[in-house]
Amino acid sequence: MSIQHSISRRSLALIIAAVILMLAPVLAGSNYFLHIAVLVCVFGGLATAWNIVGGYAGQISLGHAVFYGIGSYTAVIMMLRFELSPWFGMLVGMVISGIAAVVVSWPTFRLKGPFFSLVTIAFLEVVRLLAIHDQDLMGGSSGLTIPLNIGFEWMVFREKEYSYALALFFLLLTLGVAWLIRRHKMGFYLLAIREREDAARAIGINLVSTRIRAMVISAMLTSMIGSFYAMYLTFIDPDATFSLAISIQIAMFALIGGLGTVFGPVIGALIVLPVAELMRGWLSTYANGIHGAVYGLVLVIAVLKFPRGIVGGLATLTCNEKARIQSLLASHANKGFLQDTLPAQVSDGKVILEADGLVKRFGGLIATNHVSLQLKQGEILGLIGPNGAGKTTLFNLLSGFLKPNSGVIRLMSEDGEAVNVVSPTQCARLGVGRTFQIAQPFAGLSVLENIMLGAFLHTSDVRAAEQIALDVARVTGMENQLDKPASELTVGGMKRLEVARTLATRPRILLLDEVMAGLSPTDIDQAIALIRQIRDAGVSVLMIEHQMRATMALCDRIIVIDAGAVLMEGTPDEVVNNERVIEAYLGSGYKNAA
Amino acid sequence: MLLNVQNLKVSYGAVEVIRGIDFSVNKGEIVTILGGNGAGKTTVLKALCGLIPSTGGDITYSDSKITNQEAHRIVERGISMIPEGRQLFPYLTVRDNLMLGAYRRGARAQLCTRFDSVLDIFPKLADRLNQLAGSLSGGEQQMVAIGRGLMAQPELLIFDEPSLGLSPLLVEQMFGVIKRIAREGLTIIVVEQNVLATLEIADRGYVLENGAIALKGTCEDLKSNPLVKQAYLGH
Repeated sequence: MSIQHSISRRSLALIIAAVILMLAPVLAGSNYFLHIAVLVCVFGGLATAWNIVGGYAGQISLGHAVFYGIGSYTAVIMMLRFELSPWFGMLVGMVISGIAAVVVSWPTFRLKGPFFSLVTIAFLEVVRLLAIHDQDLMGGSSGLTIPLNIGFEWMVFREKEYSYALALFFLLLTLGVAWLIRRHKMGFYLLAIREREDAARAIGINLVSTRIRAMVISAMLTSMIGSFYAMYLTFIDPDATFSLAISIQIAMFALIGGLGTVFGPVIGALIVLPVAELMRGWLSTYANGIHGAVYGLVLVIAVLKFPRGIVGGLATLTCNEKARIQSLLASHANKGFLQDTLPAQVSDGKVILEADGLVKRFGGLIATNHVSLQLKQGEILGLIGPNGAGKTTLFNLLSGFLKPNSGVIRLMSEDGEAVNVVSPTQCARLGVGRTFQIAQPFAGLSVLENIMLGAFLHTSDVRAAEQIALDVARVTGMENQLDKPASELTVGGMKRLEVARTLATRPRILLLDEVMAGLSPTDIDQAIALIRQIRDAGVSVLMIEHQMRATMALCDRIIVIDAGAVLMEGTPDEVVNNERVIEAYLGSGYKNAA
Repeated sequence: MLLNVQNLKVSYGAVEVIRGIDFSVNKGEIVTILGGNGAGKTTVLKALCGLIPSTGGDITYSDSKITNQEAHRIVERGISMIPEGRQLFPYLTVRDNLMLGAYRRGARAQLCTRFDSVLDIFPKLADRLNQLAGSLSGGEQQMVAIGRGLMAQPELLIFDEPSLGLSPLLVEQMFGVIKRIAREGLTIIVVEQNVLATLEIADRGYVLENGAIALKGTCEDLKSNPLVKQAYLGH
């Protein structure tokens, strides 16, 4: 009931806001206000499109004006050369921008932070110089003027009201796309990549294709608005369109409004742009340039007061997520996740994961030295050894995060075929779930969203992912923390979240890297029970663990690694009574205790 | 009394996580704070070190108040923390990590002797001085973290989960190191999940539950307390 209620109230608020947006400038009656309203729509739209890459995916592009410029020039050139309607030119521009986005993001997707930004600036600069030097098609530095064909099909109007209606339409279209992305799997995936790349790969997210898709969508929307704005201005030139200043302005609106939020960028444009324009109008009569100073002051205050953006700041005040999760939990039927949701498997003792002669060198150091191991279906295999022996390196090899210098890793697929492991994403899709020794939560997201991200491996539906996440939360004892940001969990809580997120991917093989470190003895007892249940559901488990109590209680077999090589392999009893293991790993205290 | 905490309160937003606790540490003692996950142990330590603000109560350190002072001033007063999960500077060398520990005024003068004494406690680090801290194994990283804390020449050293992620052999050695440091005259607070081993080396302990002190006493008393036995010793 309450969910329905809050949704209808929210949509009502949106409708009211839309009506005000539509009517206000028209009622104001002055062309000047209408012009500012068009500007707000255009820049709000551009910032919204930018936010898909800059906010959701966290890749700060400072060359987005390139797509804006491509949209402008394509529409104008098609009109001048072939007398085609800008509506058609707009579509062509979007296609070209989409292709350009692939060209830019394919080689640069590995770059992070300032490096990605620098490349986008460089790309923008190259295109601007090309435009200046191309006299024939693009009119060189003097630009192109649009013939005054009035009418809807030419996107040029005598009355500004029509331009405003069209600008609003494009803004709403862009917002709609941004909203859809945020509510769907793609939005979750983009946020996950932004927060932690390795963890994202471990749950089966393809970083390259997800990022490129975001870039293409963002570029196409930017281009669309560029085409419209060119028609509105009726004149374009390289310096004003392929402009770094515009690129930065777009990013700034998103930053001030709230990076990564759906409505933040528009709110940013809505607040900052009119202030800037009105300052220019009112203050320039007193002293030339003073509007710039006041504008700057407003920006500094905005950034200081709302470090997470205006919408980001408000979101924490109107936190109804907790209530929503409570009602979700209340209405959630308790399904036996381990029995019903995990892929049913017969524990027939066949080898499901096999490493043969693995060697991994880091420079002169041999981290993994001819290691072979077999994990059988339905068993719990322990991996112990001194710190620095190469256990985590072996895990990274088995899950595709590192490539071995020699040796092979074979994985039995669900159909019983042997597949060579090549990448983390492939591994996750074949049913290998892994946790990280240093927990890697998606810190900015809630616990619920973190677990949902794992569930997205096998579903694209947000509701279904939510249900799986609730099931998993119940099994792993995280029900009471679902609404918390993952960053606020204790170390033990983060370890538990690692397991929960991995379980949600419905693995057939579970690789656990020290999930019990930092847990209290009672928590360890619970964790032991959980891992046993997971195994009983047919999942094969390979675990690195220093808590000998857990290793002894759980493992069918134990492999001891020392200095990169297998020291011995055997049952728990054989291992703890082995002199070499005691000397290298357990210590004399353990010998006496045992 | 070296450290005296009275009615300390800490809140995250509207939630009060530390609800008015009292405890004290005498000079030369090893005191442990026990408690389950989320009991608030790390929060207490962070409030002591000025890493998060307290919302009420007083912290007195050698007869003057340090409540809500900035973290670097508290380090200047002689309190160092070895944080949970090591928190080294991964892209600096081991040597630089250690040197940064001696940033405290007064510690700089005796830099060389401190450095030698850290290498005396952890001889393994001598071979690793020019390696990046991030490339070390978990046990070696923990050694650097402790070494960095010692470089500040503190009077009070706070350990947050020193045995986290260490092999049984190294856990044993780590507790040996803590005992050795204590013998040299330092006062120590330890937070650990390895309750049994901690109670072996500590003098007194406090049990924290839901942000309040549920139990306190000497380690002998705590070890034989049925509540502690059941909740923290696991049998």
